[in-house]
Amino acid sequence: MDDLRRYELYVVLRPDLEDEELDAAVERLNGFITACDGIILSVEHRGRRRLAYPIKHHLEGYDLLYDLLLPPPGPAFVEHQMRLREEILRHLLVRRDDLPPLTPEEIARRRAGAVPGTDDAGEIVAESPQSVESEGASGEGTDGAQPSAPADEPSAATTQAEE
Amino acid sequence: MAFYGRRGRRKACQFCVDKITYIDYKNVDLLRRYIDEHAKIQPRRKTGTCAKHQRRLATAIKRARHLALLPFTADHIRLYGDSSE
Repeated sequence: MDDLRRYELYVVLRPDLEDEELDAAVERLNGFITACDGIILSVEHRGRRRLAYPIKHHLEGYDLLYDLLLPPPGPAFVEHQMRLREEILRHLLVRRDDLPPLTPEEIARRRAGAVPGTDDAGEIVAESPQSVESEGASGEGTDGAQPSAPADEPSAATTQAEE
Repeated sequence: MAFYGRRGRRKACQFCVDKITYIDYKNVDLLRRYIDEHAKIQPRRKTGTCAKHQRRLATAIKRARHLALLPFTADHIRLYGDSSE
């Protein structure tokens, strides 16, 4: 899976969703991404806000911001699914090639771990020294498939503990 | 330092000065400075933005409009207020 690309997804949801409906909508969105083998790096709940103009008679919207990785067919699938959901007023999915790419080790760890919490992209930077250390202990960096495997367990545990 | 007739000194592109490469569509306060009271994107000759950054700025403003972060028209401002919270 080296052909994952980094995207940013901005979703505007209807403001009149109940708490459980909102949770369900977020779960469904996460499902779209994982269904096409994507990885969610972070989800930010930007919350309710006044819209600059009404959309479907709604004057407010509830904003979500995703940082994610998708393989090539992913964006078409995710966008198609989102268009079918009436609780999604607007969405925008854009490539973020300007952001530094994740190393294969980081991607492997993300895939192994649970869905990250509502933290921002800063946590990626904070975690990267760990993977460098585990590689350095075993010698060369590129054949780090085996040494990075034991490092997966503690780091996955810490992400869950943070949540 | 180019001079442009009676209009005086050419403005420097603010994005070049700040070394900004990616103009974020979410940065509404920044984008708002580049639309006028009719919600129109300001021309380069008024803001001094360079061609490269003007293209990126226009894209960012259009993305922000799609998400209702920015208005499309003066009617949006007049009827629904300026949504700057």
